[in-house]
Amino acid sequence: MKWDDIKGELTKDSVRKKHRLALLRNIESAWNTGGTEQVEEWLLGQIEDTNTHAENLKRQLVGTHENKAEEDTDENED
Amino acid sequence: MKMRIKKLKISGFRGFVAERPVDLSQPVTILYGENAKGKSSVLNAIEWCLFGSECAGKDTGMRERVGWRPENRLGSVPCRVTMICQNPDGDITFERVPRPRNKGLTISRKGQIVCSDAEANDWVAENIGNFTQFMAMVYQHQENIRHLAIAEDSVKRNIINRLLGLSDYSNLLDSLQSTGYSTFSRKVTGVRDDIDNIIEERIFGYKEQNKVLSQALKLRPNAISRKLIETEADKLTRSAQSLYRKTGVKLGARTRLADHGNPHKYINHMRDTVRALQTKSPQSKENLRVGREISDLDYHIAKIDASARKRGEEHKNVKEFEVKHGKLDSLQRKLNRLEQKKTNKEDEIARLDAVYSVLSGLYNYLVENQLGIGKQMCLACGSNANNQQDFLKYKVKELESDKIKTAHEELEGICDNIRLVSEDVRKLKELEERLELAEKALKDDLKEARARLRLTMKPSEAPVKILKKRKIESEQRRVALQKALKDLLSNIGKIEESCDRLDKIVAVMDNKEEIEKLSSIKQHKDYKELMKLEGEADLWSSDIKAIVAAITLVRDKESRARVARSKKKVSEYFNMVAQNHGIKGLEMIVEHSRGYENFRFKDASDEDVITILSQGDLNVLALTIFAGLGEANLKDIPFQSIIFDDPSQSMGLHHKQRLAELANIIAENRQVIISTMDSEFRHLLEQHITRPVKVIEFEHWNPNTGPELK
Repeated sequence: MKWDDIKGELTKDSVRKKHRLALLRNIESAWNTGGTEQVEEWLLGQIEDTNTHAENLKRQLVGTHENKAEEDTDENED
Repeated sequence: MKMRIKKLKISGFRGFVAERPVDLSQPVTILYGENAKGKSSVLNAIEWCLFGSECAGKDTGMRERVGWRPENRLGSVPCRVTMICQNPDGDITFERVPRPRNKGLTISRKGQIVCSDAEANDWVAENIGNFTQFMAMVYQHQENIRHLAIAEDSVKRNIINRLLGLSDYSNLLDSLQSTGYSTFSRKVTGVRDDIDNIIEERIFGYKEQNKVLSQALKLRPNAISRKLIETEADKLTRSAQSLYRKTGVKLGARTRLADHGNPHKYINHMRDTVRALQTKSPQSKENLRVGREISDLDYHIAKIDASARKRGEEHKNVKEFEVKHGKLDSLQRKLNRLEQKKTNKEDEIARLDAVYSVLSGLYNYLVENQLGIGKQMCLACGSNANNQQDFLKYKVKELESDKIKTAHEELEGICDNIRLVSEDVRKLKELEERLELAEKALKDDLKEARARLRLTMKPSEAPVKILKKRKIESEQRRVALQKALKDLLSNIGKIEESCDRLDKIVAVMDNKEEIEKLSSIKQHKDYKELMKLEGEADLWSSDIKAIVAAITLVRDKESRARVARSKKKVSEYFNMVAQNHGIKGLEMIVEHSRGYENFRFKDASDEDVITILSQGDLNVLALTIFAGLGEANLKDIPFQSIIFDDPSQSMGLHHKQRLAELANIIAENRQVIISTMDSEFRHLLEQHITRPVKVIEFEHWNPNTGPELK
């Protein structure tokens, strides 16, 4: 794997150069640690983290609202 | 660094059990033997010694390597492979034992350890390259040759990539694609869309609810405010206070909106407060008391009525009996008389019995002494009498059959009468006792009623009449009370309606506030963070896409360079070995389609030759790509060895012969190791190879000792 050549290709494009190089470094590190399985695990972990964060934000935004309504109902029952 | 393998020592590895040295010092070594005799284990030992676990698992692209393990299954001898390589600077010894995380490699020179474990792996990577490169240029695997015949582009591409030493790029690209990174940002967008939909649906729901509630309240939604709730709550409190005043009950605390945490609690409290008046008001209490009194009156009237009826019945029975049988004193007198009569009759019978005794005694005397027959003197009176015996006989018979019998019959009649009169007396006494009990019960009931109902009545007054009069008075009172209660309930109902109205107003206001809250969610920091996350996910996806593009670009450059370097040799070798006259000037080119490179093999007429190649020619093509690539990159390869694993499969005699010739050409520059089970090919190799050849025969394999080498 010619990682330096890949980095070189990414460097040619000035858009998000730093981000992409950092991402590539992570992929390279995962590849060197455990090949395709490690790369998949790392990438899926990134995706999962983002999805979980998005779901948490959703719960905070509209889930809190539901909980609030439930609390009100409980108070009325009291 | 230019290395050649000199010697191997293998123990406890794959098919090997006890340690076996394998001499590979000659320019050409042929490992010959049937299947499952240990030939492939020798070849595997070379790659495992250098690369350890890198040559196992799915990343190798070889199906047989999934679940592959180096240790001999019996495990009786520790697994160890030692490989001594010839190098211009002196021999290098590689020794590997299985260790976790691919440790276990030791590299030494002249008996001195140079490095071990991770450091040794790094040394191999730096000086020899990785397993993929080794597989492309040094070790030709059977699976690569067999699978090239499969026409599917993706499989063919993978095999050629592997032959070109580019499978790492393909594996990495496949693993990146498999994560679905390109569609990932859509998931985050989906979450935000969900939120937008939830907000929209809820706002719509609240607005619809408010429409219905406003219509019921006959108010415009805009007219509903917190101020209106306060005003309505004040009215409600005043109404409740007024009603409590009217009924004369003291109103409890916390009757103002401000006394409660929220309007719902206030409304519920007020509803409970006014409902409590239904039981708390004096009218309610009095109504309850009067109701109980009427119920008591009903009970006692019924009870006294029943007792009086019973007494009347008993009295009637006594009177009827007296009319029929006489009163008790009269019956008693009659009984006394009969007793006297009975005594008299018994006296009479006693007298008659005495006379009878004397007369019958005299008669018997006369009969015994034969006296009183004819005219004789009477022994009793001394006078003369005729036939005294007959006279006495007549008198005794008269007494016996007439007077005494009659007297007894009369006594029996008297006794019967006594029994009848006695029975009448008993019956009458019983009836009088029952009458007495009924009278007592009536008296007790009246006493109880007087006590319970606190009645005072004159002895002359009829108790039931008084009770009934009292009941009528109570019922009149209850009618009046119920009218008052109806008014009270009507007032309570009005206040409850006010509560319901206020409830609806509060619900409209709550809904309006919820709508405001929902409308402001999009300004919330969490929502903004989600939008930011969505943007980041999008950028992240595009970053990965750019990385994928860069990897593809580098791989393509590399594949083009390798193809360019080797295509002359490949074409030369293919034409030499295949000698297919239908194909002129084989050309290997790389094309690109949808991010993948496709390898095409054309001839001078620009036709794709793969489809017209025989199985043997396809094998030749795969072998010549491998050999050509190695030959073309000879100066870059640290290993000056080439390993063929069963290369003659599916080949005819002519192919084999020319392949042996090719091996001889390759042996000029590189050490050649060939594993084969094909005796014909072995002999062809021995005939055509001009350089020194060593043949190692694998004759027998013993599960306890491993292969026997000859």
